[in-house]
Amino acid sequence: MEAQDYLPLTETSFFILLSLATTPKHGYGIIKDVELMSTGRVVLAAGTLYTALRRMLEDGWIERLEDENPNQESRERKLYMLSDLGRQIFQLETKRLQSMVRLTRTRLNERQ
Amino acid sequence: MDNFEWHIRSLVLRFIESLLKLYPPRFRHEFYSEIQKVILCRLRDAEQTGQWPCAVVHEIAGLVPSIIQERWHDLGFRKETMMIIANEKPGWFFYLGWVALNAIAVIMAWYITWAIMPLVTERGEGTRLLDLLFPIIGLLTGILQYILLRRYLPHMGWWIAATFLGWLMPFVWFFIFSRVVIPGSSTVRIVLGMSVLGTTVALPQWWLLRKRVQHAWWWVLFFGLAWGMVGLYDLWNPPDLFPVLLGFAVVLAIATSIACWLLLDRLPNHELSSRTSSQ
Repeated sequence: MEAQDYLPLTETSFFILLSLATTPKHGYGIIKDVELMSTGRVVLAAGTLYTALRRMLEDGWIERLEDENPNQESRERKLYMLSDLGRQIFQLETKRLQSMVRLTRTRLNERQ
Repeated sequence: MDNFEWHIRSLVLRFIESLLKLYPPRFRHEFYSEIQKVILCRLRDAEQTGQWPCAVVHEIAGLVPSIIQERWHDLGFRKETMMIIANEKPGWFFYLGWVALNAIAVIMAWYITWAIMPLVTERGEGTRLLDLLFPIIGLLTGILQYILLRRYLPHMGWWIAATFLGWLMPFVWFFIFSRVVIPGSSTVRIVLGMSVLGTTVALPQWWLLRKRVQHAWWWVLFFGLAWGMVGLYDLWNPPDLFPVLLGFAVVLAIATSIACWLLLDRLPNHELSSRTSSQ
């Protein structure tokens, strides 16, 4: 499947990709980051997150890495990072959202 | 934290643990420890901000649809992988074991039949050797084949019943078609008749295999061919039935091991390479 075929993304998928766009993260790191980015509006439950991560791993949007600096806490955890396909999907979705925002602004400005 | 609260919390944690166990095994294998750790971290953080009950409800509410979704996904996955494409391929040990165990099963069945024969004939007069031999072969080969096959074709418990039923098919055949005349010399008639019998013996196994592997009809073909080849014994006119049975055991074991190689190794590999090259 092409990156285009996966669009539009759900809000959960978008936030997960956005969270991973900068640095690889652990599962709980993603949850906290998404909560912070959305100013507490989107709080991912662990079940929701891992179902999404499983799907993204299967579709090749993200990759799983072993933590290179494991400590007592992160021993069991893995890091997730965007794959090339995931980055492509994220960029396309961002462009799509941007064009929608532009369109909305133009239309609203016309009316005013 | 008082004692009651501690009990409630440990109860909730155990409930979450048991919910996590409802995920399908494949998902559990991949994510169980991670998801468990994430939930514990989340509840620990929520405890510090006094939002423990909300976090628990939120996590449980997230787990339930996730489990349903994963179960549903797993059903689809299992359906897809019922047709093995790139599963584990059997090694030389499997084929060696297959030939040996199948041959041994037939020989064991021979001796068991002779051991049981006096007991049965005491009760019912006129019991023929084959009336006992075939069902016993069916049962023994079914069990031994299942032991070998289950690693490569999981969920094949019905294989034993199918094999047993298959070896009863010759009786059904004789009962229904005893007057069918196959033209030609006696050897040709025997070879053709044996091939047809072999094909019917393989039918119940084929019924199971067709859902699990592609081109399952190879199984029936090889079974028919092996039985037909054994029909050539007529050319040598052996004085005793045992050498025929021995030859039959070895030929059938080799033929079915070739069929196994085709169905579990050669054809899936071919399928996979043609899929890869077409992408």
